[in-house]
Amino acid sequence: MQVFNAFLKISKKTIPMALIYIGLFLVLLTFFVDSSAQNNTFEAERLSVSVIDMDNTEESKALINFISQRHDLVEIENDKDTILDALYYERTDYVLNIQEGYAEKLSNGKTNELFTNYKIPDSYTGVFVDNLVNQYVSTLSAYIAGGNNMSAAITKTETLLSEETAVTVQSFSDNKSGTEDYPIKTAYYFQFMAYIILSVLITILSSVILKINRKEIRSRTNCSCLTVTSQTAQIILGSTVVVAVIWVIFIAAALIMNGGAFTEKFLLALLNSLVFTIISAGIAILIAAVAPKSNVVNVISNIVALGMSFLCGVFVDQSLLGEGVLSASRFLPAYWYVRANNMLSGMSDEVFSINSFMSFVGIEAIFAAALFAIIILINKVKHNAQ
Amino acid sequence: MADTIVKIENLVKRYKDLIALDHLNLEIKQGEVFGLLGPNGSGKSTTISCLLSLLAFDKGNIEVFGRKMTPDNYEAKRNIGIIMQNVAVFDELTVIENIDYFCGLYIKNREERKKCVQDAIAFTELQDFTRFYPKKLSGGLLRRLNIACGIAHKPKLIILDEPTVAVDPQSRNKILEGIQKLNAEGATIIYTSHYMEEVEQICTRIAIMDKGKKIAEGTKDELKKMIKNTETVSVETSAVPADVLEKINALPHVYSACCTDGRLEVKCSGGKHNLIRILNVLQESDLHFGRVFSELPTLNDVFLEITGKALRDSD
Repeated sequence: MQVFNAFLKISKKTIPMALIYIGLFLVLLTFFVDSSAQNNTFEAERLSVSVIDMDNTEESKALINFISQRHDLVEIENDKDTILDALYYERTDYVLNIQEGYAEKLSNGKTNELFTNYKIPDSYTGVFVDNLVNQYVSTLSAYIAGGNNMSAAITKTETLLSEETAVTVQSFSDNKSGTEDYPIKTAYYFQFMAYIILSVLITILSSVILKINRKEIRSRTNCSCLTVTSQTAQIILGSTVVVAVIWVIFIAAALIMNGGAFTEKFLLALLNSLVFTIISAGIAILIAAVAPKSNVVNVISNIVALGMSFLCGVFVDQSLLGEGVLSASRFLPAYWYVRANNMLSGMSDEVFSINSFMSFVGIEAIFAAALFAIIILINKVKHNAQ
Repeated sequence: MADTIVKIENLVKRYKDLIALDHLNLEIKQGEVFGLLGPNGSGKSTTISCLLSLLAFDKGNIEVFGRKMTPDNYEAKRNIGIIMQNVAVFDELTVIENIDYFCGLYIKNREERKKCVQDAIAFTELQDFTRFYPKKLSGGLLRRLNIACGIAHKPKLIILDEPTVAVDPQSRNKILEGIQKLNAEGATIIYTSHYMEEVEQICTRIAIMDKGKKIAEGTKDELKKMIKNTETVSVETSAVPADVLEKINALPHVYSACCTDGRLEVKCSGGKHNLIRILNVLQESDLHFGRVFSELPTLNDVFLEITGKALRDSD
C-alpha cells in the first residue's frame, strides 16, 4: 500500500491551502445567512430637515408639525452661507423656507411661490422632501377648494396623509426563510458547498494525483515490481478516502447547523451533495489528467470553482441570472445541484416534488458518469501515446 | 564464463521518421560496469527506456536475467534498480520517507524494508538528513537521495542514466566511488554518460553510441587499440615553418603534424621515443619551445577517429 500511504501523506500537505478555501467559505456563509436573516419590514427613512418660517402663522406651524412627524427637524440660522455649509457638511439634508404670506396665498387658492428651498442637487433626499411638501400642499388646497375652512382642511390633510400603506419586502426569490425541516441556514450551507467542495477537491485531489503521476516518479514506479493495476487501484482508493473524509466533514458541519436533525429534506440534500461531490472529484481528476504541472492547480481551481459558481447560481440567485447565462449553465452540473437545493428550501418558484428532485440529481449523476468516461478515455490515449 | 544479465538484439526504435535506435546489439555480463557513452541524442536514454519496458520498440528483442523483458516481467523488475537523470523523489516526503516509499515498491516486509532503508542511508551517507525534505537538500545531496531511492531494495542490476549531470566535482566523485562500491558488492552496473572521463574511470566495458548505432564496443584499452593514434605530442611554440613541419611529418610513426595558435600537435601511431625525436627536430631548427605534453589516446580520440567529430562538439 505504498502508493496509497504516500497519497494520504501528500494529501495532508495540502490541508493549509484547503483551509484557506474553508475560511473563505465560512465568511461567505456568514455574510449570506446574516443578510437573509435581516428584518424584512419596511420603514420610511427620516431625514434631517430644517424649516425657516417667514410666515409664522398657524398654517405654517401646521406644516412644520406635519414635517416633524416624518423627519427630524434641525434648527438653522437664516443665512445663506450657514445653510450652504450645513448642507455641505450634511448637518441637514433639506432646508425649507416658508415664504411670508404662505397662509394667505393658500386661503386664496394659490399654490405657487409658497416656498424657497436649499437642497443637494440631484439627491434623493431633495426629491423625497419636495414630494412630501407638494403632496401636503396639493391635498390641503384640494380640501380648501372643496369648501373646508383652513383648520378643517389641515386636520383632514394630516389624517389623510397619515394613512400608511403596508409594505412587505420581497426578495427576488419568493422565500428566504426556508422550510421548517430545511431552514435557510442549512439551505445556504448546501448551496455554497458546491463552491467549497469543488475548490477543496481540486486543490487536494488534482495536486496530489499530479505529484504521484509526475513523469519521473511514474517512470520509477513503472520500473518497480508493483503492477499497474495495483498502482491505479491504490490511487483510486486514496482518492476515495480523501473525498469521503472531506464530504463527511462538511456533512457533519451541516448536521450541526441543522440542529442535529435528520429530516427528510436534509437527507435529500445529503444525497444531492454526495452526487455533486462525486462530480467534483471527477472534475479534479480530469484537471489532474490535463494540467501540465501541479503549481497551476490553484489557478485552475479558482477559475473552475468560481466560474461555475457564478454561472450556475451558487453566489447569485438563479432568478437573477439572464436567460442566456441560464441556458449555458444548464450544461454545467452545479446548475442542477443549485436547482435541486433551491427546490428543497423553497428558494425558487419550483414547488418541491420528489420526482423533480430525483430527476435533477439524476442529471448530476449523468454528468458524473460522463466525466469519468472522459477521464478513462484521456488516460487510455495518454497510455497509448507513451 | 560469466552469466549474461542483459541481452539486446537488433533493437530498433523509431519516432516517426527519426530512427532513435538502429539495430542495436548489446550483451552485458554479470559483475560488469558497462558504460554507454555517446553524445546527447545518441540513443543512450532510449536504450535504457526500452530495456526497462518504459518505451515500446519497433523491432528486436531484449532479455534481462535470461527472460524476455516485458512490462509485466515483475520478476526481472524486482532485481533492477534505476537511477534516472532527473531526480525522481517526492518533495512532500522526507528523505527517509522517500527511500522507504521506493523501497516499499519492491519489498513488502516492513522489518526487511527498514533494514534496507537504513543500509541505503548509510551507503549514501545521508544519516544527518533523514528528516529533511528534498527542497532543503543541496544538489549533491539530492542526487545521493535519488541514488538511495534506486538502490535501497538491493538490486542485482543497477541502471544509472547520467546520474552526475549538474553535480559539483566533489559530489560527482562520491557518486562514482559509490557506483564502484556497489559493483564490488556484486551488482552489475549499466552507466550512461556523455562524460568520457567518468566512463573511463569506472567502466569495465564500454559501448560507444552515435545516432542510435553502436559504433564501438570493448574495454577502454580495446577501444583505444582500435584507432591509429597511440600518442599525441603537443608542444607550445611560436609559428613552425613549413620545412620544419615537413621534417616532423617525415619522422617514423608520425602520421599527422600541424601547428595552430602557437601549439604544435603531432599524432603518432606506435613506436617509442616519439617525443625525443620531435624535440630534436625543433632544437636542430633553432625553434624555442615552452611546455611539452605527451598524451595517450582518450575515448574522445576514439570517438573522433570513428565519427570524425569530437564527443563534446556533438553535444
